[in-house]
Amino acid sequence: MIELNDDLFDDKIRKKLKDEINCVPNDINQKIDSTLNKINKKRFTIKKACCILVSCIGVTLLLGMAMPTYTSNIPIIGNIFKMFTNKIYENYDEYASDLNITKESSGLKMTIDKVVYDEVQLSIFYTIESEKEIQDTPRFPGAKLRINGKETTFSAGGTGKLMNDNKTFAGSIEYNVSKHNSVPKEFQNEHLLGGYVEIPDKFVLNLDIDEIGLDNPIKGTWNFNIPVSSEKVNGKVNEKECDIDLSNIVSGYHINKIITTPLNTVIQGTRMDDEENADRLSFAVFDNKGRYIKNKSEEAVGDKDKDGNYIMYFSNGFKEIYDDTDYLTFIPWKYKNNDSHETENNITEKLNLKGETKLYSSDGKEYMTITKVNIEDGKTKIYYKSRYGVNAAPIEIVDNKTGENIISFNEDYNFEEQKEATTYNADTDEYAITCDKEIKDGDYSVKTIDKSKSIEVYGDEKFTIKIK
Amino acid sequence: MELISFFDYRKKSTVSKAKKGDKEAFLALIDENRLNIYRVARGILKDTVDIEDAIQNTIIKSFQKINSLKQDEYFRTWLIKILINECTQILRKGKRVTYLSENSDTEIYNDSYENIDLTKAINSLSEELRVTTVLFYFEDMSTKDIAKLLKISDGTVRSRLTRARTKLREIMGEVEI
Repeated sequence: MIELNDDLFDDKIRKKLKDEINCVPNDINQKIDSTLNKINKKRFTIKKACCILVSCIGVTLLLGMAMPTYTSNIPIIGNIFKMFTNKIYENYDEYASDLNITKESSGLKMTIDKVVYDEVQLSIFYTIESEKEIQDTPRFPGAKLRINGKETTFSAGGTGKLMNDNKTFAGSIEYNVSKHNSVPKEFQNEHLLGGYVEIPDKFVLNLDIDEIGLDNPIKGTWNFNIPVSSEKVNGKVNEKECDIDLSNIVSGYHINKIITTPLNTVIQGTRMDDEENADRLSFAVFDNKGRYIKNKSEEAVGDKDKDGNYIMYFSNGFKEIYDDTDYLTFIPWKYKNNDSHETENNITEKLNLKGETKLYSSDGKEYMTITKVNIEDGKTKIYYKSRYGVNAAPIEIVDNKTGENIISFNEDYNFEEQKEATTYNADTDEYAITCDKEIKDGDYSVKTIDKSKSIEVYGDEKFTIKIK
Repeated sequence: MELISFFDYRKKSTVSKAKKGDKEAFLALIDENRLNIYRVARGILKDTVDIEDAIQNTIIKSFQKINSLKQDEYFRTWLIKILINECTQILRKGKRVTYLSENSDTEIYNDSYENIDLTKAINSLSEELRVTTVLFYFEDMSTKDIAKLLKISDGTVRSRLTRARTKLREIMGEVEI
C-alpha cells in the first residue's frame, strides 16, 4: 500500500468528514431552536441551564450501570457481567424484587423484570423485545411518572445492551426517588413538575411510556404499575444531620445531611452560585480502613432567590459503605474555573525500586512522590504521596527493556479499577496502589497524568463524618 | 486602511448588533453556525444527550458573554472555544462512563446516522488528540490558530496531529479513504 503524504491525507480526511456530517439532525436542530426560543422569550436563566446540566451529569454518571441482577435471567448478559469489573452493583441482587410484568405495543414487548429501591434510588431493570432489529436506543426519557397516582418527576439515568441480533434490549433505568430529599417543599412545589410528593415506604410507581427511542421514537402505549417497597432495606438506612462548612472553597457551601443505605451513600447540602458559574465540589471519599468509596453521581437543583442569589440544593452520591465502616473521610476537590483545557499532560520518570521517585509538573512543582515499592504476597504495592490524592491515579508502569505495560492506563487497564483499589492512610497522608504482578529487579518507568492545571484539591479542608 | 469584504462587513455588523443586545442578530449568528457547532460537538462527544447539552450551554453562555468578545470578526472562533470548553467539561465528568461503555460492551448511545466511520474513528482518539483533530479537520483551522485557541504551542499541535494521523491511518486504512 502506498502511503499518502500528509497534505493529501488531510484533504481526503476533511472531505470525507464533511461528507459524513453534512447536515444537522432534526433532534439537534430542535434543541437549538428551543434554546434560541427560550433566549428570545427572556425566560431562560443561566442557572436553570445549570440545573439541567448538572442533572444530566447525574444521568451521565449513571449511564455506566450494569445489571448484575439480570444475569441469572438472561445468559447472554452473564457473559457481559464477567467483563464488568466495576464493583458498584455487587450488592444489588440481595435487595432486588422480581416483577416480570410485560406490556406489548407497536411491535415492542417490554418487560419490567426487577426493581430495587433503597429509599434513595429506584432501579428498574427491563427487557425490550422486537421482531425486527431495534434501530434506535430504546430509552424513554419522556415517560410520565406518578407515585400513588400523583404526577411527579425525578432525575434519572440508565444503560442497556442490545443482543439477539439487535432484537432484544436489556436495560436499566435509575430514578432518584429519595424520601430523604432535602430540597424544601416550597421549592419543589414551585419548580418541579408535579411539585412536592411524599415518598412512602410502599407505593405504586405508575410508569406511562408513550414512545420508546431517542432519535426516531416508536409511538405506543406501555403503562406499568410497579409495586415498590423499601422493606428489604428496613432498619438499614441511616440519615444523620451534619454541619460541614466549606464556604471558604465555594460560596455558601454547606453539607447538612448524610444518608447511608445498603446500596448508596449520599451527602446533601446547599451552595450559592453566581451568575456565571456552577461552582460544584467533588469529593474523594475513604473509610476509616482506608478503602475508597467510589463516587456515583452528582446533581443539583436551584434558582434565583428574592435577593438575586442562586441557592442550589446539591446531592452527591457514592457507593455504599462497608459493614465495618465507622467513619468517612472526605477530601474536597473541584475543577479549576479557567478557560484553559487540554492541560493534562503526561509526566514520566524512571522508577526507583529502592527509594523515592519524584514526579514534577511542567512548572517544576512537585506533583507526586512514590515513597516505596513493596512486594507483598506476590503483588506489588506502590505507595505514594500527592496533594492530588486519588486523582493522581491512574499511574502506568512500563518495563523499559521490553516495553511492556506492567500497569497501563491507556487501553486495557481499568482506570476506575485502579481508583477503586487505591487505599488511603489518613495518618501518614499516603496512598497505595496494588498491582497483581511483581515489579522487581529491572528498569521501569512510571507515568501519570498531570492534573495540577485542571483540578484543585483541598487537602487542608478534608473532614470526617462519623457514621456509627 | 483595512479592507473587508461585504460578507465580513455584514458579519461584523451582525456581531456588533448582537453585542448591543439585538436578539435577532444573535439568533442569526447561531443559525449561520449550526452545522459548524454540531460538527465540532459530534466530533468530540459520542452521546446525543451530551451533544445537545454542550450545544445548549454554548448558546446560552455565548448569549450571556457576547459583550466579552473583543474582535467581532472572531465570533466563530470564540463560539467554538466556548463549545470546546463545554465538551471538555462533559468529557471530564463522564470519563468513567467512557470506560464502562467500552469495557462492559454497554451501548450507551446509538447513532441513527449511517456512514460515519471516520467520525467514529475520531471519537475513539484520546481527548487531547480528538479536540485538536476536530479543529483541524472540521473547522479547517491552521495549527497556529489551534495553538492560540488551546493555549498550547504550535509544536504540540503539530505533534498531536502527527499522532492523530498515525492513529487514523491505522483505524481507517488508507485504501478506504
